[in-house]
Amino acid sequence: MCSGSVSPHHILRAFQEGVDGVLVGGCRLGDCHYQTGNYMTDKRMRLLKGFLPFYGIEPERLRVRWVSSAEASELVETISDFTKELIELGPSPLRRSPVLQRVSKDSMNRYHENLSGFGS
Amino acid sequence: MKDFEKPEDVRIGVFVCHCGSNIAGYLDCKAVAEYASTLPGVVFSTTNLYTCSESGIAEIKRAILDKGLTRVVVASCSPRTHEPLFRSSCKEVGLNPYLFEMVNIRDQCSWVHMKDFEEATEKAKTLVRMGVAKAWFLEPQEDLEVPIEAKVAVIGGGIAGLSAAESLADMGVSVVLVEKSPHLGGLVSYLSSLAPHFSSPEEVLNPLIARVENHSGIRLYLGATVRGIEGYVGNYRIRIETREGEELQETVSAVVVAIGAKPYVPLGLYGYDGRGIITQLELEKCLRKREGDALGKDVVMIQCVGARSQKEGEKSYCGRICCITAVKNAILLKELFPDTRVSILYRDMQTYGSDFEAMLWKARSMGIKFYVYDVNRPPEVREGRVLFKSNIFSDEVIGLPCDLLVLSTPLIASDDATAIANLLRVPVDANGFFLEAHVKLRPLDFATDGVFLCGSCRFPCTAEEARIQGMGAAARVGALLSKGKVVSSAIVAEVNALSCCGCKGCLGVCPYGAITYDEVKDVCEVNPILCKGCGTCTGVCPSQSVQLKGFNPKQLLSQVHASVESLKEILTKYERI
Amino acid sequence: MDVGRHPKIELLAYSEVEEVEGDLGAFEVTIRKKARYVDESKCTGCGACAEKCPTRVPDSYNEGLGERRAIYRYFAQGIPSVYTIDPNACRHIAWLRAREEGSNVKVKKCGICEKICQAKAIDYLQQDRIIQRKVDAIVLATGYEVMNPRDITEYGYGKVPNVITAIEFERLLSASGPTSGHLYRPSDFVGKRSIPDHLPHAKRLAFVQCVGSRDKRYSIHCSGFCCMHSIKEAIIAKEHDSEVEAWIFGMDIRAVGKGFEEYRLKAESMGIRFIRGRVAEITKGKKGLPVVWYEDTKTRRVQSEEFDIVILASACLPSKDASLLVEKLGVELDSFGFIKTRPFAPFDTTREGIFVCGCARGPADIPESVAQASSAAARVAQMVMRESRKAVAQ
Repeated sequence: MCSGSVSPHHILRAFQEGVDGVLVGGCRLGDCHYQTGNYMTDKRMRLLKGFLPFYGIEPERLRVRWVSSAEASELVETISDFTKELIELGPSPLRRSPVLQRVSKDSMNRYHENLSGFGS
Repeated sequence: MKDFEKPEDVRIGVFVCHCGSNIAGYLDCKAVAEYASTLPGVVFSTTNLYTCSESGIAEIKRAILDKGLTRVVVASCSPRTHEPLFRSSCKEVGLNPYLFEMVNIRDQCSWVHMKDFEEATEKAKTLVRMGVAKAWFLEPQEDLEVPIEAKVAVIGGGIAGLSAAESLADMGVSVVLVEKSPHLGGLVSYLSSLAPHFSSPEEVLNPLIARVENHSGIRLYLGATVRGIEGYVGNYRIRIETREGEELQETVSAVVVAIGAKPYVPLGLYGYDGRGIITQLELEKCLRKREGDALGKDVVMIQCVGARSQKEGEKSYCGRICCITAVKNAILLKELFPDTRVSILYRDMQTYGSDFEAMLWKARSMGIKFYVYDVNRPPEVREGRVLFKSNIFSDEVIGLPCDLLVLSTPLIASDDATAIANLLRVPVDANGFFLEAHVKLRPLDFATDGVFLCGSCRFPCTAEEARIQGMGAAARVGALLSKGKVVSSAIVAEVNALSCCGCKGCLGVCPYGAITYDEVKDVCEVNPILCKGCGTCTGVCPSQSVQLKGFNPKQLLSQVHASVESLKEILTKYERI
Repeated sequence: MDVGRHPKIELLAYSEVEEVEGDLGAFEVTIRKKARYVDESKCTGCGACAEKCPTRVPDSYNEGLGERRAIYRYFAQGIPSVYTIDPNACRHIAWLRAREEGSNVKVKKCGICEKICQAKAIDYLQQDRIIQRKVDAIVLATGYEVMNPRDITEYGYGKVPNVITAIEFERLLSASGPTSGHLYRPSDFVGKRSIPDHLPHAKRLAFVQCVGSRDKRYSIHCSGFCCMHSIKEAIIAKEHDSEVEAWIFGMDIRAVGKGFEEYRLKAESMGIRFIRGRVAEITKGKKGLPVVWYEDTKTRRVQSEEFDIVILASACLPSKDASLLVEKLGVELDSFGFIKTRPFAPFDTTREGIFVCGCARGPADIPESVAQASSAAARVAQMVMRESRKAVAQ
């Protein structure tokens, strides 16, 4: 699966569910298995990062990294560093605030309802 | 919070692989399998020493039949290596192969967390829960099969196109060969002889042209132009304007692009005038006619004219074959007229490989002089002399008498490259040469299925290299057509016409031109034959109207949900929340 | 992977051609399938055996810079994905052989892998097998071998520490290599049981071109691809660590392929230095590091420069193993020792029905080799189909 297929829907949904950070990984720019998918990801993620503060989420909680499948140590480093930084940032605001928690819970239930009639 | 509502008829079987000790050595497989059995929808779960072994596969098959499984989840290694095996095993006992889901608890879990047994076990449980969650929403899919005819169009009748056409016709493929000029042979037919063996172009071309002209499997259009190309692999419709001005259509399964390149004309450089200051190609034409005496006693050649340059209108790349051409022509001059003094001014002498380097040694032994010039202080032509400062030996100015100055210019992209690229919707690079699917591993394929390239339209190459590439492209076409059908994976994108608002966001990002816009219905549509299933379109669709089969929002978001739920449970368990 | 899975390809790895009889359209090939001491149909490639194997030997895949066990896979992504026992290193096989011969057994028996293997794939008594195959045509794709620069004494390979070949350097740069991709000086870790902590990174690198090629004393031909791999290695090293200083010493920098000149310019813009000329000598400096002696053609002075690692771009030579095979096949070699072809029949060897592609016919880089492989396939299809049409006509 190409990082090009990662939609803001997926990422925002993960934040709604209460994750503290999202890491999007893709092939190195120029090495996309599907030619240009990761360039699209790059553009889209930059845009989304800009919007995250509007949802009350620090943009640092979304990270995009290009690592090839042959660069295991780099991937490990990326994940370890990101984890460390997330621990410093503390829990996501959507998890911290009980109000937000409830809001996100409600909106998610609505989302479920929408989704159950979807795509079939 | 409750997990996603699961569909009614789902009966999932989970198989957790030990992979010897690769997984079982670092996490508790039994606990993972037991955990799996508690997940909604799971009616059967077990562990295997090796799920991929004969006995493991037999157990999957037995469980599908005995337990009435409608979904299979295997938690083991990488889908890259083993997914095809598990899918086909499901198929063998009547379960649609796309109702199979694989969870990688080896590469992504046991191998990464070798030092923490308990945490690795918890993570494996989470991964399995995600796999099961996705499995609920899997749908049966069918691969697409389209029969194709063994017929191909070759555009360009130079040595690359001729070689491709001949090879294909000999393989039993019907070939339509379209050449713009009134004769076959391309650039090679203008040359005096071919490096490194000094073979005559006629010796190489004539038999090849004769075979192509007389081959019953090749239909030849000389002096004809390609006006339009529509369609996709297995069904390309090519509109050809013949020499007589008639327009007709040929339908083929694949297209080979072999339109060649053209020499750079060094207008305004070194006083180029086409008489006393000429290009290598013009020298070739003289040598072909064996017109000797008029050429002069002192011949100087300058390399990299209009090449390896950042100047406006010049080319930044190395022309690959210009050094070889210069050395070859220098040897020919010396052989025809031993009294001629030949000097070659160069930056790097690019006689790569065995035979070309041997040619360089021969040239040196014949008394041909080689000088390195400094690119920042290029040679000057003044009153029948060439003056230059050598890069090697300090600031000394060297002056060479010169009756004939020959400029080595690179081949540049053909004027037709852009038009052909637009018609076929294939890319060209910054220099106007066609861009292959993968510069190392797929040099003769375009990323678009059913379109191939060879010869100097890809990048300047020698006649022999063009022949090699032409034959190579033929093999690529042959491999495609010999199957008699195109099978494309069921994992392709699909547009929900009810919710699509026709914004064309997907159309703009598709790397394969697989998406079109229907103006009447105001929706986008995916051509499943062209779609490669990358999902880039799904990433931009604001209404999730375009979805990738096997990776639709329901399937993916259920995984996100399962992972977060599982994580919360783990954190609660360890009181870390 | 695609080859391993293709229904029309029978993959016989770890095998050698013994004999070839017949002609185009009807060859009979005798093949020795060497004993792996592991049952290919049972081995799942899990690697438990290698983990527990007590015998360590220099890892040939990592050019001897690291270690592997006596039961091993040549490299992780290899196809077929099965293990093989190196009979010359395995203690148990040595013990079994000694016992059979009745000679004085000095080695201890082992048998650990057999106990570990849950798939029951280990078979210490496996023998080489001779098999026969009927084929219409044969393609030789036997590649090349890299010159051992030990013969060029002035370059000090094997004597001056940290003078290594380009292939050895590739393994040092590789994330799957002996240093997990950290650029350490070989003298700091080779021969040690494990890589010591806090090793300094190698910062100064010299790449020496045309080692044994374009040199009348060894091979006059140009190996074609070394300029580009040196530039690539310099760029990768610099990308790993921006403090790396890389010098490339060469007579001509042959960047002739698509995008190659652009790549060379990128190297220049990254600060990689290109020095024109042939390196005269490499000596051991005071700190034990290699010193490169060269002529600065601008100043016409002999200069020297000390480096952490010197990388020799050694020549692409005809493979010696392949020339043995070629002799058996009755195929001729060209003046360089590569397999001889005819101009414009670039894959036809001197024996009808036997074809050649890639570096076996002379130096070629990856895209050229790939293109040649396809073309050789086309040539085979063309010839075989012509032959069968002839047969039908008769």
